[in-house]
Parts: sequence; C-alpha cells; structure tokens
Amino acid sequence: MAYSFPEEVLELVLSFLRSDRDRNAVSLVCWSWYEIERWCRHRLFIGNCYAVSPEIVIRRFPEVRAVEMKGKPHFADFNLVPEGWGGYVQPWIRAMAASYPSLEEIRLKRMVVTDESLDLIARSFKYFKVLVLSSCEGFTTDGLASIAANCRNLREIDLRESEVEDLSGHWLSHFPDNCTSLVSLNMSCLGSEVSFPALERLVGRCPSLRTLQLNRAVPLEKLPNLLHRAPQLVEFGTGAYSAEIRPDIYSNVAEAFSVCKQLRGLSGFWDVVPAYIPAMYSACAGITSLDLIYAAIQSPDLVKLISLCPRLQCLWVLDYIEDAGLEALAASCKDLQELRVFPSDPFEAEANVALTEQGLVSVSEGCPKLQSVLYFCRQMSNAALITIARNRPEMVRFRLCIIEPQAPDYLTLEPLDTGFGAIVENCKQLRRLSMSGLLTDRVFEYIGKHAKKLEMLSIAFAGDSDMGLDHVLSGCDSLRKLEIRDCPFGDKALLANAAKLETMRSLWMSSCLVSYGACKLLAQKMPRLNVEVIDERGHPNSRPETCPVEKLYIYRTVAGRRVDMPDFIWTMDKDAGNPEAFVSNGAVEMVGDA
Amino acid sequence: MELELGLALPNHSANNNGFETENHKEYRQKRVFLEDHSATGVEGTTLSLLSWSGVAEMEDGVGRPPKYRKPHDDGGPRRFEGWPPTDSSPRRRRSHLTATEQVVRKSMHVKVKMEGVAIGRKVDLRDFDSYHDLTSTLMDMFAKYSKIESGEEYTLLYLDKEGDWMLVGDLDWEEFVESVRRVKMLKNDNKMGFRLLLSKN
Repeated sequence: MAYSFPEEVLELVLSFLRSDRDRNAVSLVCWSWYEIERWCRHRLFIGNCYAVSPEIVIRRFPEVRAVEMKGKPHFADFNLVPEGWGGYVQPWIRAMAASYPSLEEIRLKRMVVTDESLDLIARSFKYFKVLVLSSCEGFTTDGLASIAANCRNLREIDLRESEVEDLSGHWLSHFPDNCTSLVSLNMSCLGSEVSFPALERLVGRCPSLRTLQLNRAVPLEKLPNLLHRAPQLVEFGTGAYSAEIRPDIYSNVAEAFSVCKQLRGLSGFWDVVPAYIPAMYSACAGITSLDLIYAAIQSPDLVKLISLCPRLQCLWVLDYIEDAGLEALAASCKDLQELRVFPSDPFEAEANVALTEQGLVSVSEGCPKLQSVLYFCRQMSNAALITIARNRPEMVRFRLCIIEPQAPDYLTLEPLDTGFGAIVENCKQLRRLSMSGLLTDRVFEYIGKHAKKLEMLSIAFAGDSDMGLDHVLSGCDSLRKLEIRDCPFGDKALLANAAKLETMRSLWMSSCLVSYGACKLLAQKMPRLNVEVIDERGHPNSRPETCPVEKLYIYRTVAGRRVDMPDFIWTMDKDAGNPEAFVSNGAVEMVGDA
Repeated sequence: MELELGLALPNHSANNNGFETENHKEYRQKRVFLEDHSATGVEGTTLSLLSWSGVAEMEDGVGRPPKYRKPHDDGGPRRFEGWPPTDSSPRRRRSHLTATEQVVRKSMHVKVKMEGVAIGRKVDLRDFDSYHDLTSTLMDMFAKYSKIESGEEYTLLYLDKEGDWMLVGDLDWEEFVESVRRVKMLKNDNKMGFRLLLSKN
C-alpha cells in the first residue's frame, strides 16, 4: 500500500527537532525527508567555517534565521596560530546578505570580523536581533556604531573576549532614542569610556534588559545609577570595582545591589578594593554564577564571599582562592557544577599562592554535582587524580594545567599516567579532556581504551612515540577535535589512522614530528580533508621531505581547499584522479556537526 | 631508521596497530639510553622539543621526547610559546597584570629582585632620569645589603605591561618607564644584553 504522509505534518513534527544531530539523522532517511528538513532548518551551526562554503550552505538551507560559526583553531587563544591565518567572515556576510534577508542572529567565535562586515550586517538584515562576537578581532568601535544605529530591533550585542580597536566610546550613543529592545549588552572587553549619560539613558529605556556587562572604564560610583534603572537585571558585570573609601559611595553601591532581586550572575570586578566587597553581599544569596578572574581578591575575603553564596553553580576565580578557599567552597556550595581556577602569576616557576592539588580534591569531595573543571596548579599527584576520579564519576569536562611542562607526580616522581587513566576510566561521560604533566604512551593507551565519549582532547609535551597518537585515533570513538603541541608524534600514527580524520572536525599538531612528505601523502589519499601546513620558515619544498613541519591543521571539508591563506600556509595537493581503494567511513554531514 | 611513509589501512585487529614492533623497540631503546646517560650525570645533549624542526635531528629518523628536567634555578620557568595556556589576548593580559600589579599605576614603584638574593627591593622610577641612573643605584643598593661577588655580571630584565619579560635597554628611557612593571637581575652565564658589572666600591 502506497500512501503519502502529508508534508505539512512531517514538517510540523520535524520542527520539534532542535538538535542538529537529530536533524542530520532525519535528513538521511530519504530524499523527501531531506527536502522537508532543509526547508525548515532555521538555525545553523557551522563548527568550522572552512568545512563548507556559503554557496553550499545557502543552496541547501534557504530559510535560515540564525547562524553560529567558528573560525580559528582553539590554540589560537594561546598565540599558536599566526596572525593572518584566516577565519574571515566577510564572504559569509556578503552571501547571506543576498540570500537571507530575514536573518536575525549571528554568533561567531574566533573569526575575523571587519567594520565592513558589521556595516553590511547592519544594513542588510531588517530583523537583525542578536550579535555575539566571541574572541573575534578585526573591527573597531565604528563597526559597533553602525550596528547600534541601524538595527532597529537589536536584542543582544555581546562582544565577549573580542579584540576591538577602540577608537572612541561614542558608538554607544548611536543607539537611537526609540531603541528599547535591548536584552543583553556585554561590552566588557572594550577599553575606552563610553558616554555615561548615553549608557544611563539606554539602560533606562530598555525594560527587558537582563544582561549588562560593563567595561572597566565605568567607575564604581556610577554603578547605582545603572542598577536603579535596571533592577530586573539577571546578569551584571561591574566596571572597575574601586573607589575612594567613602561611606556614601559604599552605601549607595550596597543599596543598589539590594534593589536587584533577580541577580543570578556577577562578573567584572577589575581593580577590586576589598573594602567594597561587602557592598555586594545582598546579591549573594541568589547568585548562581560568579566570575572573579579579574579580581585580585585574597583568600580570606573570598572565603567570606563564597560562604554567602550557597546556590553557586559556576565559579571562575584566580588561584588567590588557595586550598583554604576551595575547602570553604566545597563546604558551602553544594550545587557547584563548574569550577575554573586561573593562575594569577602564570610565568613564575615558584608558587605565589598556597594552591595545590588539594584544593581540587576538596572540591571533588564536597561538591556532588561537579562536572566541569579547569584548574591551573603547580603540583599534582596520581593519588589526587585517582581520588578526584573516584569522587566524581559524572565529570564531563576535565582540564588540568600543571604549569611546569612535564612535571611528574610530585610525591613519587612518576608520570601521571595512572592518574589521568583513572579519570578516563571512572568518568565514563567525559567529553572534554586537557592533560599536562609528565605523560608517557601509557596514558594514551588508557584514553583509547576508556574514553569512548571523549569529543575533544588537548595534549601538550606528552607521550613517547607514535603509539600514543595511534591509541587515541584508533580508540576514541567520539573524538571530534584533537589538538596537540610539542609531542613526539609523527607520520606513522597519522597515516595509519587517516580515515579517522574524516570522522573528526579537525586535528591540530604543532611542534610534533609529522614530515612534509607524510602531509602530502595524507592529502593525496584523503581528498575530503584539507591538509594545511603552516610553516614560517618558508615553503616546505626548500627542506627535505622528511623534515617535520612546524604546524599542521587538518580538517574535513566539502568546500575544497581554501583560497584566503597567507603566504606561510600551504594546502597539500589532492591527487584528483587517484581515488583507489580508499573508503571513508559513512556519510559525513558537514553542516551541523562540522 | 627509515621512516616509512606507507599508508596502511586502519587495521585495529592487528596487535601492533599497523606499526613495526621493531621500530617501537628501537624507540624505547633510544629513550632508555638517554635516561641512563643523564642518570650518570653526564651532560649529554638533551634534545629539546624546540629543536625538532631542524634537519639534523630528522636524519636520526627518531624523535626523542625531552627528558624531564627540574625547573631551572635561574628564577624563571622554561618558556614555551603559548604556555601556560591562559588566554593571551591583550585584554586578559591586562587582567592578569591587574591581579598582581596595577596597570594604572598611582606611583612608579617597581619591585627589583636579584637572582640569589631572597629579599627584593623597591624603587621609585620617578627618582631616575636615565638607565645609567637606575642601574648605578641598583648596583649600590644590592651591593650594600647583600653579599655580592665583585666582578659578577648580571643581565637586567623587566616585565613589561603586556606580561612579557624583556631585556632592558631597547626602549627610550621614557618608554621604558611607562612600560616597566618589575625588574629582575639574573646572573649572566651567557653573554647577552645589558650587563652590570658589580663591584664592591
């Protein structure tokens, strides 16, 4: 019996699918499902802007309203990706301006965004609502002025961590007087002072404003003006948290905080003057998220503060918190899910603070919901890692940075293989892992054997041989992103696991042992990968084929080689007429899980 | 050992995972050799990861991981680009500096530490108007209060406002004053940069 299922019904059903994975799966069922799905996908996620081209995307998905895209490899955050690498958004904006007139949301991470792009966005998308630029660069405050002036319905402008050339603070004044739609404003990365009256007026006329993150230039004394105009704020980032110690300023600030009964998240706190910390105490009972990474608050003050935040779920803090502070955290904050401890003095070999592995162990013992950790410290032991792993088997993200490369277990002087091995063996839901310290091939054996849900792995100064890399590539079934620096991994493991690379978003290797010859071979055998050699010493042809390349970035793509590379990056040639017996695994969805 | 650039189909059922077990043994042997060497205290050439990109190393065909070494006693950790992996954007740098030092300084006091001397000093940069002025004062200060070998040479470094340790002497005095956050004096084993000759006059 042949029957046709009404398309409209199917479309309605599919509209309930939010996850890209589900939508990708659905679109593989049959052609008609593919067609229906592509017409009703309104939100796009492109994890690697070079995995697909604007033309391909637009051809397949004609009705897009929100785009999220990422550019540079993660290691760009640590200066390992040279200037000029790429990640330009302009070709995308141009293409989308022509084809997606109803586009409302653009979220970009680690991309190069120019004023021209911002201007084009501002003028092309009548209904534009959300702009999130995370760790982006290439634009100035002029571009922001254009967005402010032209986007009538702007709801969100979030510049988190971006590098903006700050020409002046006047961009904020470009918001028209009738703009009342703002829900979220994050300008914390900007340097110069914005016109305070303009900011006051903007905040005052946007009744739905829920997130306001100021930049450092906004003085503490002015905080009450803003908070009184926005008592409905849920997330607030202060400017510089310092002022002359005066009772009137103090009481104004304290009173302003008490007026904001919905506050759940706090950040900012540059230049903290300890005397003013208690002024925010009234907000603490409701706080679920606290970002203190700019705040040089010493441990005793931190302990007091944290003990007032029993509902804390997410804490980002400097290592001034010390072991004592983390113990207090473990005692007070039973809802804690995410902890990030950053180093206050990362370039000093000797500890300037009393923060050791013990702090993390305490938190792992005391916080039953802990699932996400980023921890910088100067000593670690296998015993501590094993304890942490046993305490928190539901850990999802575990990133540990021991500051000295290849530091061994400080108690036994052994490698930290068994410690990290315990992490991957106990934490079966682990999706992200960054390792450090002295590590041999053995740890990779453990990872390959146990880390079946691992999606992202970061490795530095670790391993003995290609076996290490082979364990990871052959064992980690869910691996999507692998980034490696300064490890003795070379050609063998890479070539033996070439097919694996097509199942991943990307692989980054720098200061390893992969030879130019191997890169060429890999590219020839795997035409759906872009094998990009980054080498600032000049063309690899000028050195022997066996010579290792400086840096290597390999990613799957349906867009072919990119054409916007600087002169120190080469895409290895794919041998067009040489498919041979190479079969890659399964259909690969480029968009949605790129 | 020749590096074979053959392309094996992924064959996970093989117990050597597509590798030559021979080569792997060779790897292990070479590593053990290195370890034994340093155990006897012989100053062998430790191949640092940073020199892997040279052609010479590749003639061996083997990459050797660096043997673990204890941190140097020269007051600084080994430096690798992009390590530790804290966000290195200027904004974050500013934030890290403010954690230890005010970027917007109300005074011009900077800490000065000399290698081998436990207690540091503090100087007010407004008291000086040239490098010569600064260095002769520093020499006097440390010679007076610490046991310094006369004839010792020191290299003068400073921490700039972006969080990098730099050699003193490249900038104009005014630019230096604007940028400097801390000063460090290291014993001069290699002849580089700005040298101070300390004498006990």
